[in-house]
Amino acid sequence: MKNKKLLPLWIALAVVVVAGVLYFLLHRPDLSGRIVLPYIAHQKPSIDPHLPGPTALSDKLDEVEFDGLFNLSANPSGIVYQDGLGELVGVDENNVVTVRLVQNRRWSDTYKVTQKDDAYNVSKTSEHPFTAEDLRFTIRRILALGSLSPDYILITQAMEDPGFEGPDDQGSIRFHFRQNRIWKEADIKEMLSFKILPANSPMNALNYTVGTAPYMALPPIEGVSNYIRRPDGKAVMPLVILSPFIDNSTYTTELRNGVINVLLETPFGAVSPVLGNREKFFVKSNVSTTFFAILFNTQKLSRDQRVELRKLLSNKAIEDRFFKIGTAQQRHVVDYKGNQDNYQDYLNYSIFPSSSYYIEEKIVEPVRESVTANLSLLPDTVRIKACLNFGSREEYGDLVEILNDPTVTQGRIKAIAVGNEDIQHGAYDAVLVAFNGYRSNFLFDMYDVFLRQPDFQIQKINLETAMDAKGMQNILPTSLHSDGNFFRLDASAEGPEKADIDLLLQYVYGFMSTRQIGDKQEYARRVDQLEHSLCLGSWLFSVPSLAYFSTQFDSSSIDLYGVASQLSTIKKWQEQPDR
Amino acid sequence: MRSSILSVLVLFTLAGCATFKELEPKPELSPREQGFIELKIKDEVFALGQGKKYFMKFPRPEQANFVLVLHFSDKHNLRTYLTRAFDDGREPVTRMIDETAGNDSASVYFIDTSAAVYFWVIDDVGQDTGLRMSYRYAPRWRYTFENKYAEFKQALDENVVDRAIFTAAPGAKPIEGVDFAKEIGFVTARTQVLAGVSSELKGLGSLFPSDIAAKKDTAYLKYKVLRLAVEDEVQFQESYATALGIFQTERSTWGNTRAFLADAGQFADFAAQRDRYPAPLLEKARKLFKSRLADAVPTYEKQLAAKHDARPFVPSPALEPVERLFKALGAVPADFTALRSFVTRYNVEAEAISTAKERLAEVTGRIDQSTKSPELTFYAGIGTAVRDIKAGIPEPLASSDARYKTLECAGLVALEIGKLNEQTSDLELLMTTGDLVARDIAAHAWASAETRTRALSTGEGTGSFASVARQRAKLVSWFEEDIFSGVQTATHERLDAFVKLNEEAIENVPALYADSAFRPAYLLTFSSGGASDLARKRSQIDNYIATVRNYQFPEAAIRAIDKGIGRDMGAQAVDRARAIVAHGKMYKGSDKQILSMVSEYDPLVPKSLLRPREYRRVFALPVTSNRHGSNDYVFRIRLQLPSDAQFPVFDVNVKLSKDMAENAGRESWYDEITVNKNPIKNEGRFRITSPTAANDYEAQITPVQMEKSGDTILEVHFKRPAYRMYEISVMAQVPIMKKN
Repeated sequence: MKNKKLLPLWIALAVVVVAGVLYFLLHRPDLSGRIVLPYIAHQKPSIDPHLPGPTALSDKLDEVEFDGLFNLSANPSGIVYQDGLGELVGVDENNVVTVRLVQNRRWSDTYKVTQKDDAYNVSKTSEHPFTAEDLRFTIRRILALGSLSPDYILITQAMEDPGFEGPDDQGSIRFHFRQNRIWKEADIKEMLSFKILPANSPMNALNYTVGTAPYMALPPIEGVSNYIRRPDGKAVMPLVILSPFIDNSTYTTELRNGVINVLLETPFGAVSPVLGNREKFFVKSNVSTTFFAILFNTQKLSRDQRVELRKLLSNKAIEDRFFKIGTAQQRHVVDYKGNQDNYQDYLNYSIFPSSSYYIEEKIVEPVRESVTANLSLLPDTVRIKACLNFGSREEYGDLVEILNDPTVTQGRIKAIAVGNEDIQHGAYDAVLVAFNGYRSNFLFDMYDVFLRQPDFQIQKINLETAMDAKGMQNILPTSLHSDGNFFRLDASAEGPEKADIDLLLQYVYGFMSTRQIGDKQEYARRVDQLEHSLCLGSWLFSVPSLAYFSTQFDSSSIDLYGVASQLSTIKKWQEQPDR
Repeated sequence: MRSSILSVLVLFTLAGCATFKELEPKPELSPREQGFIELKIKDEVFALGQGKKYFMKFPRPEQANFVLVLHFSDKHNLRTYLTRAFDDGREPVTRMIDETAGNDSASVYFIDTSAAVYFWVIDDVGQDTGLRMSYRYAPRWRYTFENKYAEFKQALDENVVDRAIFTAAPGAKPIEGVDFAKEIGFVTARTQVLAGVSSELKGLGSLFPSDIAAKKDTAYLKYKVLRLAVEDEVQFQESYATALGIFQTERSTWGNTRAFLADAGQFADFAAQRDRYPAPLLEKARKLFKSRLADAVPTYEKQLAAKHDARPFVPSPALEPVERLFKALGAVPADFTALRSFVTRYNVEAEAISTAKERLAEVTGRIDQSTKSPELTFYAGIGTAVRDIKAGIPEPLASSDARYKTLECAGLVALEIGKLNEQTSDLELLMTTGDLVARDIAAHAWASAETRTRALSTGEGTGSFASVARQRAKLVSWFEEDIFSGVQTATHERLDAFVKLNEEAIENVPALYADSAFRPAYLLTFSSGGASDLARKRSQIDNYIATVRNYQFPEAAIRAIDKGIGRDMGAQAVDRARAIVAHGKMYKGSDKQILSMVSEYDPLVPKSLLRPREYRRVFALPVTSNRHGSNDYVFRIRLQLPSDAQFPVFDVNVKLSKDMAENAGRESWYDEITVNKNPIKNEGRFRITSPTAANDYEAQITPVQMEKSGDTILEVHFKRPAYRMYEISVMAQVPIMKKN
């Protein structure tokens, strides 16, 4: 009887459950034909193919939208270069490189896309073909950007006077490459892999949306564009959708729930326990692209204090807590080489992350100190602030907690989550910063560390240069002013550290502006040594780069290698045949 | 037909007609000497037409030197000539001379027997006339003499001179009282006329036929008488004029003995002609001459006393005519004989001195003028000549003459002879010594030659050679130069031969440079120019040796040895390479090719890479010498590539040979790679790719950092179980940064 009384309740419950199941099944997103990538809603991707983007995703989207003369791609055997807007004809004994420009390639603004519900209609408007003028404009823009652009380094090391002759009747253009090496085909294509913008583009825009790649941007919704396969393109998947979220804490859940089908970076870079179902997800690892560092405010802390603070901040202890090593909740990692839980490899001891070329190749061999900090030199409380509102929220949250743990920082640290304003105004003894999208290759971006405006809302590099009497471009001291960098360094201010600050500025510029490997290496060593002497931060650790994909995709169509962009092969991605 | 025959006849007739018509007298013309014969033709005269032309043949005379005389009445109406050959007036015609060109009634031609016939040609007749003409053949002398006799006779008669003064006829004026000039003029004028007559008569005599004397021809007898008379008068007048001249000359030298003595010859001749002049006349003259000769000896002694040199004495006037005058007057006085004897001796000595001096000058001139060392026979030849000169130098006797020994010139002669004796003795000894030195030099006996030359130069043990100091200095300079050049040449030849012999030698090359060939053939120890000159000469020889040692020999050897390094890269190539390197250590030249060869084959010399991306051949050579086992090899590369980087780095690609690298997969092909002695290991920032067949055995070493302002030496050591040379290629290029 008792059960009878409860029967309606059970029926109601069953109805609710069935209804819930039905609702779930009926309202579950259908991601067929779509590649759906998450992003932090208030960190809208802005795309400039020639400058490092404000977010990691921004840089990756360059590959989706733009072509170079040659495009980096990959196959199961490794990296390959594919013809983009050019076809390599050859290189003669004088290192004159001849490239035939592709014909009948149109810029994406040739088409007009209209959307009705989930249906998109693509129609042609005015013809906007790709021409040599677009290439000429692009080279001019890269040269104007100078050392801010990694492409500047590439083309100036390839050509003394970047530019080309032509095109001739065959549509061929000729580049005069430098005589100082034998230029192999792969090298030539690498040098000419910079993305090309249409000549009618503004020289400086926050976002560039007109490209020639297989995907073209749809009209932006709240400032963010999705991408649709071009009618004349060769992409397999019809749509690339950017899906906004408040922060990264739910990314794995969203993937698990099928709201997104690609997660390019996991929180903590760790293997996600919720995505462990190999039938639903497969994982691909890349070299690290994010590292965490605590940057010291040189206006608040003396050099002696900074030295002791660095000693106090044990990256090993922090990392152990960060990955909860030795606990039931340990965050497991795997690197692109297949190494698992090799946390030690992610510890950084220099501005150059351990994953970078400079450390891996021992160009820079940072000092590894394991001495006890002289706490008497430190302020009673060192205030380390972090802004959790602009990505890496999960990681920042944990780190704040870890730093406040007296067992880790001996009770001398007070880590606080603050708003962007505190960071802007330098209201900190030190600031916790996650550097996203760093390159581990030659082109490690030192401007992003030293000259970046301390404002998480924008990506601004305070580089000011001028030409000296000898025609050489030099960095100006105004590039390093106290409101313009996380360290509050000021090259214009007098002080006991001015000489070192000046030198640091020169070394940073030397590193970033040179096209010579030897100079790059030497300046890397000098920056490392001088920074170690100036003691500007604690470089903590990098996190692995781990991408999860829904098994909606055929894993064999997705090739990711080392430092290659994760989206460089996106046009080849395809769904499992049985789906 | 008839007209044709007529034409031929007319032409024949016209052709047979001559311009000149021959006149043929009857009777025919006769060449015999006889009187004039009238010319006729059958008792008629020839009729000559106006404007007509004629000729007539006259036979030649029976003898030479004849004349043909033609008399005719109207010579002016005719234009005529005589010729030896005539062809109807055709030129050339040689017209004979008419000896009576101005005569209007006769023509005379000299004819002889050279022509068979003479043609008398009438070239023009002024108006019609009859030819009235006679002819005559006559000897030429007769024709002339007959025409001139009266003239000659008159000349003789008008020019006879009185002989009284000449013969001192009683009452005649003494000759010393005559106005010599006037009388001589008077006589001479007549003598000239008569001499002319005499000359013509003599000329006429040549025309006489040889048999004329036997013919007793009257004209010839008259000729003889006249000719004798004329000649006698001429002879007298000449003697008389001569005597007048002698007395006149003597008178003109009064107060001037040298002038008198200057004419002593003609006085002597005059005094000696006793047959020509009358005795009284001669006696007057002899007395006069004797009185004048008393001043002769003092005149000459005065000249001797005024002589201040040792040159031959030339008396003025000459002694010989004076002595002859003395003799013509009877006897030569003793003082004149003593004078003549002294002068003769003095002149013998003086001339000998002069001759010896000239010959010595010639001999020493041969030494002085010789700009280079003479032939070996030179010294003996000069020695012989000097001895000959010496033999020709007389004893100084003139200075011992009792009468004239105090004369300065006598003393000077003696002094000169003494000097000559010393000079010839010195020169003879100099030549003897020189001959010895020259023979030493010829025999390459450098030490002996140098010792003798030193003695010659310093005079130690040889005499001072003061009288031939210049020649001695010359010989010394020759010998020094010969010894120097001889030693130099001997050194050169020995060294050159050594080089030629050893330029391809590859064993123990350093020992070659220690060979005695690289020392002078003789170490010079003396120079008359002093220590600095000696040092210069030594230095010159040493410089050549140094040039050969440090330039020529290594250059030649390196080139020769390098040619031998061909495709064979085996042990001999290593030996050759090492030989080249050893030669290279001695080489101080700047020949880029040589330096390059040495550098290429010396494994320890870094090979420069100057341009990026260009492969450069490099030889890797063993630095050990195990011919039958394993050896250590090394090669070094100097990076000198242009770069605008502050700290440039390069990829260095090393293309190895297959046998070097084919086992690289099992064991490292190298032992050590260093950059500026700092080892590079295949770890950390450095990467050394393995050479494989797939990459054509090309290893890459990167990054190799190049010192911008210093040396960057990449050094590779490896071992191979071989003793040979490896050829590898090295290339460096700038590495590039990649974005991806």
